[in-house]
Amino acid sequence: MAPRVLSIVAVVAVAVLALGGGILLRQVIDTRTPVAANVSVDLGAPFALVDQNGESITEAAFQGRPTLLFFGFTHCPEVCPTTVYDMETWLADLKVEPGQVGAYFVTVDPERDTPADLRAYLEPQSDMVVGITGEPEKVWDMARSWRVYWQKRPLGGGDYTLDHFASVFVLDADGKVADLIAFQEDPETAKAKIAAVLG
Amino acid sequence: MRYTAALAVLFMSSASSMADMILLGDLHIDRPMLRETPPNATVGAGYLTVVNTGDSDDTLTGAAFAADVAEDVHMHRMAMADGVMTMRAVEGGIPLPAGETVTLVSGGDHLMITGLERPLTAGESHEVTLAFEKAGEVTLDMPVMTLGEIRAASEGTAPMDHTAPASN
Repeated sequence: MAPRVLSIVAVVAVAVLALGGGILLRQVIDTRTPVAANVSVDLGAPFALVDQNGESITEAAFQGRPTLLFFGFTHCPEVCPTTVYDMETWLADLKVEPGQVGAYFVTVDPERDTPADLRAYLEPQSDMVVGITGEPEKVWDMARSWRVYWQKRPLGGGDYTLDHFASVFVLDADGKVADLIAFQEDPETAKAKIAAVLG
Repeated sequence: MRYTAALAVLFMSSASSMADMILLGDLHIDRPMLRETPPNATVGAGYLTVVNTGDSDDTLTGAAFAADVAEDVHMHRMAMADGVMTMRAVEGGIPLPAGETVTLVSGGDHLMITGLERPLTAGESHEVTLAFEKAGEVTLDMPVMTLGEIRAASEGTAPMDHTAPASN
């Protein structure tokens, strides 16, 4: 009898392990693609980088007020200027006061994008969106902590472009992800997501 | 008499809507647009619509600016999958099937302009030479527009398909 009990115990143990593994995997998948509305996922990690004015900036910038967070690069003719334009338009339409919402553009191309590049790129496009760059490894660590995907793609002649995650994170005043706005999302739903964290 | 007047009105209305359309053999090229760039940008984007009214397929194989404006133009396909934007050169050019309308639009296929020597400023326009496999070449003026103007002008043309997987 004893061997039989043992084998039942073994089967149950394997089943429990498999179930646990499945749940674990599910959690990993869920946090990798936090696309569901109103998910509060723990993303981000402490960082020490520089903004477009050369001032140091840390994760504290995402505390105390809602934040829009986007990862892009300045050699980006399409998605990045469109997103900057949209962020600016949403905030203007919502009549957000200066400083009431933080808006950041973190470069995923820190090897090329200096603070001055980001400033020259962003200032003419926006009064609100501030660029973030820094030592490449530190910038990439920061992007990884938000589980952002990016990948260099050669264009020939040593030039390259980047594929990248192109949604905008909507963070609440505690710096937690409240929502995501997809590229070229309907402006009304985008603004509703921001209005929700404005309270 | 009435018929003549009606025809005249018909002709005028169709003529005005086609005022900016460029004809090259069987190809009708419409709504050429360049997107305004930030002052220090080295890359830009251009859009247009091509109607192939002929019986045979053609291909948009290239585009070129004056050397003091931009170095090169690539044809790119942008796609979104799981929130990730991918951009790839379209090898061999953009197909223009017989009888079909192909729209190069913000968020889809577009001309990617590299090596900008100067910013593209709204209100200006630049000469661009488009090359087609069969129809040959044509040089046209492409106006530079803001994203807001481009969106307004593109209304109703090939909206982006958010569900389409990346093509490569």
